[in-house]
Amino acid sequence: MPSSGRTKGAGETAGQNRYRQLIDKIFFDRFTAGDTAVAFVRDDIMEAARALGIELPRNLGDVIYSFRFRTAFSDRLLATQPEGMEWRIELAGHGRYRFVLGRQNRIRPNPSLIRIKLPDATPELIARYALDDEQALLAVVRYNRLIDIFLGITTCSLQNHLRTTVRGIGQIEIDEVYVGVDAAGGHYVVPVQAKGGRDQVSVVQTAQDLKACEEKFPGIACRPSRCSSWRRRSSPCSN
Amino acid sequence: MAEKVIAMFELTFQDDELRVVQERHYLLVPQEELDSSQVRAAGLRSQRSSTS
Repeated sequence: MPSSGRTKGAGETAGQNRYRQLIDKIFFDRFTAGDTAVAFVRDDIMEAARALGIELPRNLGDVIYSFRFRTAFSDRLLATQPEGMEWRIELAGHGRYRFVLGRQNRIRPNPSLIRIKLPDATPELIARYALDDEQALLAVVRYNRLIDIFLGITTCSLQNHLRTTVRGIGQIEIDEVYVGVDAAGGHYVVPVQAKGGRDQVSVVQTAQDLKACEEKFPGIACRPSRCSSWRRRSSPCSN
Repeated sequence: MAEKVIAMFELTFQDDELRVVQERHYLLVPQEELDSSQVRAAGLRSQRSSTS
């Protein structure tokens, strides 16, 4: 499942669909192949709404905010991105904005980091029968208590593949949600993204996970985490 | 030989950008592959960092 597009389809709200039409109109009215920046102003949102005959959103700023943090661009707009690049909306002054084509915000594992050896507590049955990479990774993280070890708190897995509806976003799915407690009695909620191989951390997905946790678990700290696994050639490990 | 490494990231937003709070890489191995002196050294490192 492409993480950037997970609010599309059945779970998409009417508002998101309306926002996407507005943004497409603004973008494609100004974009020429090869452009790396496309400027527009707040009034262009009103103009696009009039031209499309759709009701003007009450909060114009939310259209922009939505595409900066919550919602993926349309497939048509994404198709204009060259390989390895992505469109972002930047603020460019009062009431001014800019689509900017930049390198994808790739958060990659740092290859020079120390590899910490841990005793493998994955049941052999799970290792043998895990159905796909993401499920296997979530199980390995759970059975080996990697969230506890990594964050230094004691957690329980509350639910995996939590589907929930978030105000202003629609239905989202969080790979796994943990709740935890620290030595001082503080509580935490930890939404976990599991990514195999070349999948990347999604800015939109992380922002959606945060928003969902703030809404469902108000008043406790949210610590979004991501796990990924990959194979690499062995060399001496540290511990 | 290929090893399976699990990378863990804690993420946050700072100045509207997604940032990494901390990152660790774990290698899950049978317990007999753990070297006692390295395990002890790792414990001492943790102790030092928690008291500093």
